[in-house]
Amino acid sequence: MITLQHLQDIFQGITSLFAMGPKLAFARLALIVLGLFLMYLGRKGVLEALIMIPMGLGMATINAAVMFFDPLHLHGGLGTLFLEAQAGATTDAVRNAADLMTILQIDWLQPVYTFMFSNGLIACFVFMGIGSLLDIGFILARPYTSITLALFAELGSIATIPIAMAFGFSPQQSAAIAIVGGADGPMVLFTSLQLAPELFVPIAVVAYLYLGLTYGLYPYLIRAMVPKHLRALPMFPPAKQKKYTAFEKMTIASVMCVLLSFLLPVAAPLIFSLFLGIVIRESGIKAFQDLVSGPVLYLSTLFLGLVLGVLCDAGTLLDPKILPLLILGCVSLLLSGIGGLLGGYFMWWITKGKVNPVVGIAGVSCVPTTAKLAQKIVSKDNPSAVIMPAALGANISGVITTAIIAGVMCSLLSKLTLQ
Amino acid sequence: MKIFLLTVTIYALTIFFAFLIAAIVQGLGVLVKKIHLEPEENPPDLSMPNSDALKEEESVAVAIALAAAARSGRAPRKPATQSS
Repeated sequence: MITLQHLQDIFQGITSLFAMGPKLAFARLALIVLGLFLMYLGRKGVLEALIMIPMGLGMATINAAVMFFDPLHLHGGLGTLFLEAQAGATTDAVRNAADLMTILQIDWLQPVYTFMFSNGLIACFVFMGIGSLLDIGFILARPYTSITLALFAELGSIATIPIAMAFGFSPQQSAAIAIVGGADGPMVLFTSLQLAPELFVPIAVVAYLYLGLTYGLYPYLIRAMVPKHLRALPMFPPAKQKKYTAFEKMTIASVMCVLLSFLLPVAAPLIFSLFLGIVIRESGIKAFQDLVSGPVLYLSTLFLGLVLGVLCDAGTLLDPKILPLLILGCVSLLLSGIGGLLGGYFMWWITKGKVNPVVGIAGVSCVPTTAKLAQKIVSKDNPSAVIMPAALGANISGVITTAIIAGVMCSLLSKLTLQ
Repeated sequence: MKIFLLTVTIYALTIFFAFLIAAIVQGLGVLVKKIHLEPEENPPDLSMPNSDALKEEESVAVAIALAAAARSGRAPRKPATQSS
């Protein structure tokens, strides 16, 4: 005979709602709806589909698939079969090893999280793929303009540090939060792992949630800050623009990789991954190009979105640390957008109107989202205006300046304590 | 004050490194044009074995055939020719 206990055992996803507090239960239901809504916005093109579709599905499913299962006794008897971010995070090395071995054999996404996500490998793979899509010819055409725009667009990464410290975070945690303003997902993962591993999961979740949102919210910022006649300003290529062969670009990229790694060894894994992608693109080895710009990039992006979604369980997102992170991440990205547009105005003023101020938003290094966004906004007001090459130059420079800022932060702050 | 100094130091170092990189990029751009790194015509296709590699493989195959023939005491077989 089927008893109530049997029904509870069969429908654990539902009965677990009643076993947790009402706050968590409602949060679970809200996150299921939010996950599905993020997928919808991704599919409609309002948010970045590549991240939002797997992330939304992961978020909705992880909050549905809660059951009476907690092999490591971390969540009061409730858990899932997806992944356990806290496994191996205690101070006891022997217990950590045992916990990890146990959970690696149970949770299906745990190998991806442990061996690719929490050590930054997935960030390096994404960077390799991004590198294989970048043409450094755009930065070679206007190196100083591109770098200046990118430096302005780091306003959020800099100005958020004192704001986060005012919220009570340590300098290391503040820097890890502020780098969200660099709008460079892999760099955020990398920096938070180096500087504030205890905040790695919430920072990663907040960063990618907002990176998706930049796609939807930056157009309003651009329209608020740049009048229509300036948005429609056409841009022309530099008068003496040189053409570089693939071999020349490869040589320049290789030298830049070595020099940047020499200057900032802390960020060398990411710098190397990015330039490896660029070198592969220019090397003429088609098999490598196809591999890195296709399977490596898209498989990593898929698993990145999926793992981030699965990390969005109600328990994690209701953590009291998350609210300030949500505010600070938003402030950081907003300041970076404002800084980028101010940089656009600065270059417009310096060049006596030859640079469209909208190009400044592309200094926010969300490659190639912000460059595409800048072109899209400009095209609406002047269909014949082409700012894409300059925007891509600023975009690539944004990646480089974010790598520099991450390297500087990690080098300066890893052992710093402010009295 | 310390927080302000820390923030300014991070930004100042970033600006310094970024402009250093911009100068290096520009310098390298000029340099690669001056030293003529690559003859423009016929860049090699690295995904396929080139003619030198094919010749090398061919000569190794001939050497193996000759050695095998010498060991067995028979003359090496002539390569097959296409008959009309």
